[in-house]
Order: sequence, then C-alpha cells, then structure tokens
Amino acid sequence: MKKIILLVILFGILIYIGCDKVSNLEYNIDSSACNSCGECIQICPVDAIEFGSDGKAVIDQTKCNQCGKCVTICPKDAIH
Amino acid sequence: MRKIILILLVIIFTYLHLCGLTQWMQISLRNFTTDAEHDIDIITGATPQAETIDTASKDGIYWQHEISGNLYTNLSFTLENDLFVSDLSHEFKNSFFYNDAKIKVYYQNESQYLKLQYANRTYNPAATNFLNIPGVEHSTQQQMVHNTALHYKGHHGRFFISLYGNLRNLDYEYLTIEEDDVYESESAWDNDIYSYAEFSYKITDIWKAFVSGYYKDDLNSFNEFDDSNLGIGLEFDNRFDFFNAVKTKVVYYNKNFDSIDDEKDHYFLTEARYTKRFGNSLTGFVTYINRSCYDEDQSKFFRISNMLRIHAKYSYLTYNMKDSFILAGIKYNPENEGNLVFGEMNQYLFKDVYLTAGVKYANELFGTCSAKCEYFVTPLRSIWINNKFTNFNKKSTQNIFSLGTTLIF
Repeated sequence: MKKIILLVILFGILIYIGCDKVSNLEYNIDSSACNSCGECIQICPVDAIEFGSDGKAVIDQTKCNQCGKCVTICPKDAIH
Repeated sequence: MRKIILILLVIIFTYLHLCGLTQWMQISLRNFTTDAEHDIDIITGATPQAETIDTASKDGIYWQHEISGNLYTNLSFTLENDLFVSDLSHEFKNSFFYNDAKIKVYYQNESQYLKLQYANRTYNPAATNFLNIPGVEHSTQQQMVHNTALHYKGHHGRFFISLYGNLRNLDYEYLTIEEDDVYESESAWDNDIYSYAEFSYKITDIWKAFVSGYYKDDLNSFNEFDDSNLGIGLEFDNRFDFFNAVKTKVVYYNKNFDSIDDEKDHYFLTEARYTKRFGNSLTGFVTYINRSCYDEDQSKFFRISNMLRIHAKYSYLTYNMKDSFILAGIKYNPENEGNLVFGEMNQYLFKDVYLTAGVKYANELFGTCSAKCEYFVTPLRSIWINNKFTNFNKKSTQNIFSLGTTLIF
C-alpha cells in the first residue's frame, strides 16, 4: 500500500514540476464527490452539462466555454 | 459552551438583520408515505421562499414529488418531478419557471441491470443561453430538453460489461438581437446522441483491467462537434483492513474531437483515493486526480489539471452528544484556480436542539458562511432557523434567511 501511495505522490510531483500547463482550460467533475443535485445543469449558460450513465453530472467538452459558473454553484465542490 | 454558541448565533442574526440582508423566509413541508400493500413510496415537498441578492428580492416556490415502487419481481419504477417557479431570474436560476421530470424503469437480477429513462426539462419563459451550435452566432433561448437513455450492466464470472446510450433533443428559439430589441425569432432544435461501452475483466479481487469506447454524434453539425474516444485502463481497489483503503485508477484515452485542440488527443487520467480511520472517531481521506496529455507535434507532456482534496472528520461517539461532528478540508486545484478551504460542524446543544454551522472560502471565487439551529419536537418532526450568506468575488452578495419545519408522516 505504501508503495502505491508513494508512486502516486511521485507521479503528481513529477507532472506538476516537469510539465507545462496546457494552453486551454478544462473543467471536469469528480464523480465520487458529485451528489447529482443538478445545480450545475441549471446554471450552465451553454447547456454543456448532463447526467451520465451513473446519474452523476458530466461536462460535454465540445460545448463547454469554460465560464466557471458551475464551479461556484456546486454544493459539493466536485467540479475542478 | 452552549450559552456562548447561542449568544454568538443571536449576534450573527442581529447583525445580518441590521445590515438589511435578511429578507428571506422558507417553510419546508415534506410528507413521506408508504403503501405497504403495494410497496409504493410517495414523497412530496413544497418550499415557498424569498431571497435577496444585492438589493433585488425574489419570491418563488419549489415543489417536489417522488413516487417509487415495484411493478413485478425485479422490475421497479421511479417518477420524479421538481418544479421551481419564481418572479425573478438571476445568475443562478436562469429562468422564472423550471420543471424537471423523470421516469425511470429498472430491471435487476443477480447478474444484470437494465435502466430505461426519459427525462424532460422545461423552461418558461425560456432561459437565454449562448449555445455552442454550428451556424448560430446570436443568442438562443432554450425551451425544452428531452433525454431518453438506456443503460445496461451485466457480468459473467470475471467479465463485466456496461452499455449506455442517450438521445438528447433540445428545442430552442434562435434570436437576432439589434440594439437590445429582438427583431427576429425562429424555432430550432439540436439533437445529440451519446453512447458509451465498457468491458472490464477482474484479474484478481483487487485488480481490474478495462477498455472503453465513447462516441458522441451532433446530428445537426457536419462532424464539427462530434466527439469520440477509446480508453484503456487499470484499477486497483483494496480495503486492506478496517483502518486503511486505497483505490487508484490509471486510464489512457485516445481522443478524437474536431472542436478541441489536437494536443489533447493522447489523454491520461490518474485517480487515487486513500481512506484512513484513526480509531472510531477520526476518519479522513485524500483524493488526487491528475489529467495530462501528450502532444505528438511537440513531443512533450502537458498537465491539464491537478486536484487534491483532503477531508478529516471527527465524530463524537458518546451517547449524550448524539450525531455531533466536526469536519474540515481543503481542495487544491492550481490550474483552474479552484483552491478552497471549508469547515462544517454539527453540534448537539441540549434537549434535542442541534446547531449546524459551516464556512467555505474559495480564493477569487466566493466566501460563504451558514448556521442552522434545529429543534426536534419528535424524531420525525422539527422546526429550524437557517441563515446563509455568500459573497461572490466581492461583486455580488446573496443572503438566505429561513425559518421552517420538516414533517415526516
């Protein structure tokens, strides 16, 4: 278990220090934190969020305009 | 201690009233009934409300229904309807009238699960949106969304399969606006098909390998907003003992969407979650999610986002403290400037009176604090007062003061 945790930590540090940030922003939803309340679906101005197969909200990246309103409204802080 | 908390509560509410920030009243009624003979549950609830945002006040009502039950052995259904009506739209509710209806039918046995769902979302007057629809460069007003979805999950031995399809239809009004006047309006629609398939194999009790495919077809466009990807991944899920559990997942996606940069074609998702219990009272978890990509043209890895979330919760397990707890956590998300700190507590005060309080602060986004005091007349009936104040990036404030009752029959 300790080896797995260490590997993940090392991986994160390596990516964070060694890689540049991608040119355009992308928002995603942590499905383990989402409580399926639908607040983000109501607030999204470009209709880019829907419930997925597991009943959790999913962002359609082809429609998202990265306004970030869903990040503010999410009661579980699941959008990152 | 209890006196201090009560005094603090009175001071907070008095201060908010003096600031003219509390113009909000909420009465929440919730009725739960069970028909034992037919095994049908019915839940209804209504919440009239008034709210102040900056200087504007808004009145509205939430009305919620849920009916669920069994049709035959292994076959069940759920009907849900959420209605929201108000006299003012604002940034967080972009329509005066909002109705969300869902019909779900499930079939489930030991090795298979099938769900058929129809969902309808209606706005009236229509919500003004800026939909990313090819050929539409002006404002649009969405009227109604229809979703019809089918989801199948099954397993045979160590093989698992999951299939999902969703047909989505959006009815909207195309507006041409000139000098704040709408001079042309035309009805239109947009159809999307979303489909997903995943096949997985459980190598051992803790290791699982999977492949997945996703395809989205925007039926109105000529491939411009289509999206597809193929994924392959490995998952590790192990509860070592009562005190330690780890779940990790690494997935590679080969993405193909014309509307997004090619640099994300080779996409890597890494998720890790470690849950720890320190005895019976103190629990916590750490979640880390990384999204990265490899750009073939530059032969270089790029980071898309990193998200680290840490939670710790202390529960009072002594009988006289009932369900009291203290929770604190942080979320670190540097790429999307979504860093957040938060805390929450639920404190049993005395004689069936509880105090719940929370604070949350996200740099450059918002800060919010809330407090709720609830008295349980019986275990199924309570009265409460609640106040929540939010400051959105020092540009706008929202205050919600509520006085309500919850009744469970």
